[in-house]
Amino acid sequence: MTGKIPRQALDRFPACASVSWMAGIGLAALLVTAGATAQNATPSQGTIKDGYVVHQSFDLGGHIANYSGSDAMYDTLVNMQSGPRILSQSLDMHAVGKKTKFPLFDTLSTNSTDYGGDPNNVTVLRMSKGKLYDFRGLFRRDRQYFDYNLLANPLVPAGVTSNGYTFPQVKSSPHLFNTVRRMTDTDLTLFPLSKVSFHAGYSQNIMQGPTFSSIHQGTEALLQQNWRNSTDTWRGGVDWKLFSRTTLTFDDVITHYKGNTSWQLAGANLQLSNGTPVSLGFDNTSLPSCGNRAAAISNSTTNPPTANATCNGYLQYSRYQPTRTLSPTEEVRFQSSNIKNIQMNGSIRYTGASMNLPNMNELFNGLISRGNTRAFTFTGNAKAQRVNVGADYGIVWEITPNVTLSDQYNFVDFRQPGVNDRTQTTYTGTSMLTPPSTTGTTTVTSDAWFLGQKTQVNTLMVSWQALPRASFSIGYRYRNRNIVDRRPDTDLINIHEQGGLFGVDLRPSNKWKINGDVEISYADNGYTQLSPRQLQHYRLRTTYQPKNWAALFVVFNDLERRDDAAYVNHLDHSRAFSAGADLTPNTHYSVELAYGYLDVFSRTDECYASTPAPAGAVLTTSAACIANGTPYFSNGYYDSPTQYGLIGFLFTLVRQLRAGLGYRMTAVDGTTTTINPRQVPGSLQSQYQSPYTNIAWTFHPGWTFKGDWNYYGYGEGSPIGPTAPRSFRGNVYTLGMHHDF
Amino acid sequence: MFRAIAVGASMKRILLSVAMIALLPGFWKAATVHAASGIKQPVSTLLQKNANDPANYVGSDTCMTCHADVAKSFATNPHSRLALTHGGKGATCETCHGPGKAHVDSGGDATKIFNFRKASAKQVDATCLGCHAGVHPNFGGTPHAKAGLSCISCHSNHASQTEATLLKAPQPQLCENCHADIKMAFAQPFHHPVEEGVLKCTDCHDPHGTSQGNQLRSTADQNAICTKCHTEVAGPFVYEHPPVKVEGCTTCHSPHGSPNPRFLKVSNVNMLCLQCHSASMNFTAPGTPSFHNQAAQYQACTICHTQIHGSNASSTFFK
Repeated sequence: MTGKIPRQALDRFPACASVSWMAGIGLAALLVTAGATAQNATPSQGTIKDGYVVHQSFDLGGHIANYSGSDAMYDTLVNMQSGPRILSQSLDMHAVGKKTKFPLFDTLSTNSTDYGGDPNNVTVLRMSKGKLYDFRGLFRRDRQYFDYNLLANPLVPAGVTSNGYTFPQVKSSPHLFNTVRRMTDTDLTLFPLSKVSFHAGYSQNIMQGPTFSSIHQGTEALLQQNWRNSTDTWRGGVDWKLFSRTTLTFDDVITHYKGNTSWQLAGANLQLSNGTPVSLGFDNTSLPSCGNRAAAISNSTTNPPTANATCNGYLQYSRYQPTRTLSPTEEVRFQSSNIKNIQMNGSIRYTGASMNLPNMNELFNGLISRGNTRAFTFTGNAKAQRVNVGADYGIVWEITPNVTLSDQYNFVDFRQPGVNDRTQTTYTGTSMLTPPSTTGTTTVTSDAWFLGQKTQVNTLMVSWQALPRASFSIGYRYRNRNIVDRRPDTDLINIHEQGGLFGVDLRPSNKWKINGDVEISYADNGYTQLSPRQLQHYRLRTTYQPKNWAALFVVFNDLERRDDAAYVNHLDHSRAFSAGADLTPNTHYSVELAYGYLDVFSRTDECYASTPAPAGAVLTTSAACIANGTPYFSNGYYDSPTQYGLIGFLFTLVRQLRAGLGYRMTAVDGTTTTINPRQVPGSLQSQYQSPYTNIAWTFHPGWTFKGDWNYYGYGEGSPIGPTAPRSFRGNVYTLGMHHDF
Repeated sequence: MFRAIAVGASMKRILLSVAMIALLPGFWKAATVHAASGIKQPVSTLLQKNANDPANYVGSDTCMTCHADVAKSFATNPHSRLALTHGGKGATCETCHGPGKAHVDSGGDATKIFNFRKASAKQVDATCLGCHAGVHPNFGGTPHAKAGLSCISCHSNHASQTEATLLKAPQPQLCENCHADIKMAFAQPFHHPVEEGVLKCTDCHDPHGTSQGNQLRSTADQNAICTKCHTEVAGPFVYEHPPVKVEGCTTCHSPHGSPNPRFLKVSNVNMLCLQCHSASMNFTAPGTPSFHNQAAQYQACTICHTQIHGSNASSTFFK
C-alpha cells in the first residue's frame, strides 16, 4: 500500500481505518511468513561486496492513530497521525581491505527515521576515507503544532452580549503555532589525522508556517503571522598540531539571518452597515465602548452581525519587517598537554554582528477612538550591532598524583547599540464608515538604545584524592558583571558574586559509587527581582550494583535561590528526587523501575492594579507601588509538585520473540496565586500517562515483524474555564516489517 | 558610524583570513602525516615497562587469535578501521592496551596488559586523551571528571551502541542513567523533543566541558545556545528585553520540560511578568502601569507585548 491516507478520512472513520490497516499489515506478514520457517534470530551481519561489508535495513509500516477529546491538545503533545511510514532505514558500508570499488569513501553510514508524516524526522549521513576526510551530515525536521488554549487566552466570559449578539469565547490559543523547523548541519574535516587539518561546515535552519499573533491598537486584533525565518551558517577553520599534544585552531563562522515574517489581520467576523468586513477585536471581556455610546452591535440579525462603526475596530492591518543580520565570528583556540602534569586550553573570539532592517512597514485602517485615529502608516528603518569579545583560559595542574589544581577564567564583553528612525502618518476620523482624513499628521521619531554586559568569571578548584576510593574538591568562584542599559536613561549595574564549591566522589566498594557537590554563593546586587543574591545548589548521585544484573540509583538535586531585600522577598527552588532500578536477572527478561518527585516553587513580591479587586485582595505597603498606581499586593506564589513514575518490562522468551510492556506517567498538583477571577490552573493540575506494549517477532533470518501500542492520556483536575476542554485519550498502533540484509 | 565600523571590521577579517591562508602552505610543508606511520603511544601505556621497545609488541593478528569476538567489530570500529584499510597502520589493540608480548607469553595473564576496566579514572583518561586531547581539552577540569567519571563511563570501544562516538548507549538514555532527574523533566507534558530523537543532550551540553555553567554550549557569537534553533530571538534588536541577553533564557523558561506551555517557569504569563515588572525603587524594570487592569481588559501581557524577546520597532515590544 502506498500513498498517504488523508487524515480527515481516518478521523472520520477511525475504526474502519484501524481494521483495514491491521488487516493489510497482518496479511502482508502472513504472506511473507507463509514460505518461511522461524529460524535463528541473529541479525544479518551483512554481505561483502566490492570490498565493503554492506549492511542494510529498513522498517516499513505505519501508524493507526485514534483519539478522542481535545484534538488541539493531542496535536500539541503527541501529533502522531495515521498513515504509512518509512519507520527507519539504514545503510552501512565498511571497507574490509585496501581495495574498494568506490575510491571516495571507505566508510559510509546513513540512517533515517519516521518519514512519511510523523512530526519528527531525522537523517544522518557519515562518510570517511581513512586519513583523508571525515564528513558528517544531519537533517532534522520538527513540526511544532501548539494550541494550548489557555496560553494568552483572554478568557472571554460567556454571555457578553450586545443588542442580541453574544461575543464569542476564544476557544483556542490566540498564539497558535503550526510551524515546521528544518535543520541541516554538514561538517567536513580534511586530513583529520594530519598535523594540519582543515574543517568546513554549513548549517541551515528554516522555520516557517502559519501562526497566530495579536496587536493592540485600541482593541486587540487577531493576526495571522506567516512565520518565515532562516539562518545560513558557514564555518571554516584549520587545526594545527603544533606539538605532539598541542593544537592551535582557527575558526571563522559566518551566520546570515533572514527574517521574513509578516503579519495580516486574521479575519473580520462582523460587518459595517455598508457591508465592509470589520473586527472589533477578539478579547471582548466586556462590552466595547463606542464613540456615540451606542451599542457595539447595531444589528445582530444580519449575517454577519453589523457592528457600530464608531467602536475601536480593524478594517485592514498588515506589517512587514524584513530583517537581515550578518554575524561573523573569528576564534583562535589552543589546547596543550605537552608540559608534564599540566593541561591547558584557551580561546579568544570576536564577533561583529550587524542587523539591518531597511524598510519596516505597517498599515492600520480602522478606528482608534481614543485619539480619533482613523488610519495610520508606519515606516522606518533600524540597525543594531552585537559586538562581542570573549576569551577564556583553563588549566589543570596535577601537583602531585593525588592533588590537582584547576582554574578556569572566562571573559565575555558584549555591546549592542541599536538605532531606528520611525515615521508615522496618522489620519483622523470618528467613524469607520467615512474615509480617513485626506491630510495626515506625520511624526518622525528615532531612538538610540544600548545594552552591554562585561562578565568575568574565575573558578579555582583543588581536588584531593584522599584515599583510593575517596576524593574531595573545594573551590572558589568569583563572578563580576558590569551591565550598561541605556533605554534611553543610562543604568549602570555592577554585580559581584562570590561562591564556594565543594565536591565529593566516593567509591565505598566496586559496586557502589557516590558523588555530590555543593555550591553556595552570594551576590551583592541583582539585575532583576528574580536575580538571586543567595544561591545554594546541592547535588547527590549514587549508583549501586549489588549484582551484575542489578543496578540501583538515587539522585537528589536541589537548587535554592533567594533575595531577601525588602519588597522583593524572592525565593525559588527546584527540588528533584529520583530513584530507580534496572534489573536483568537473565537474558529472558528485564525490568526498569523509576520514581521521581520534582517540586518547582517560586515566590516574589508583586503589585498590580485590578478593578474590581480580587477576592481577599491585600493592599501593598510599598511606596513605589502605591506611587505607581498598582496598589494590590501578591507574593506571586507558584508551586508545582510533580510525581513521575515508570515501570517497564522486556521479555525475550525465545530469541525470535521479544516483547515489552510498561507504563509512564507524570502528574502535577500545583497551585498558584490567582489574581484573575477567570484564570484556571489548567496544566498546573494535570496527569499525563502513557502505557505501552510492543512485540518483535523474527520469523525468518533478517525479517522481523514489529507491533507497538502507545496510549496517551492527558487530563486536568481543575475546571475547564471559558475555553474548550483540553483532555484527550489517544491510541497509536504502529505495525511494521523490519528487514536487514 | 555603523558603516565605518562594519568596513573596518571587514578589512580586519579579510587581512586575518588572508594571513592565515598564506601561512597554511607553510604549515602543510612542515607537517608530517603521522597517522600512516603509527600513532604515538598514549601516556599510560608509555608508563608501562618495555612500552618503547618494538619487540614487545605482538600485533593485532596475534590478539585476534584469542579475542576473536572483539575482532568481529573491527570493520565498524573507527579505531581499528584505519589499520584494516591502511595495511595495519593506525590504532590497533596495543595502541590502547600497551605492548602485549608479556600478556601472550604468560598465556593470557590479565595483569600483564593494560585493562581499562580495572584502571583508575585518571589512568583511563590519560590513555584516551593521549590521542584525543585535541578535541577534549581540559576534561580534567570538568564536573564529570571531578565526579570520578572517565572516558569509559560513557564510551565503549568494543561494545558501543553508536558507531560514530562509541557511546555505550544512545542518547538520551546514556545521560539519563545518571541524570535521572532530567529524564523526569522530559516526561512532562511540554518538553523539548529529546526523547523523540530530534534533539540530543549534546546539542546544548558538551559533556567534555565548556567554559559555561552546566557544561552548556554557546553559539559562535556567545549568545545562549537556545538561539541556534530559536534564531528569531537571537537579535541584536534595537529594543532588547534586557534579561534575555543579560540573565539568559532560563529566567523565564525551564529548558528541559515544564507543566506549563512554552516551558514557562510559572503557569500564568502575567504572574511571570509581574515578578520583575512590579514598581520598585531598587530595580530598573518598569512597573506595570496602573491602567493594566489584571481583572479585565489586559488578560495576558503577551497579547499586546507580542515581541517580548526584542523588537526593532516598538520599545514596548508591541511589534
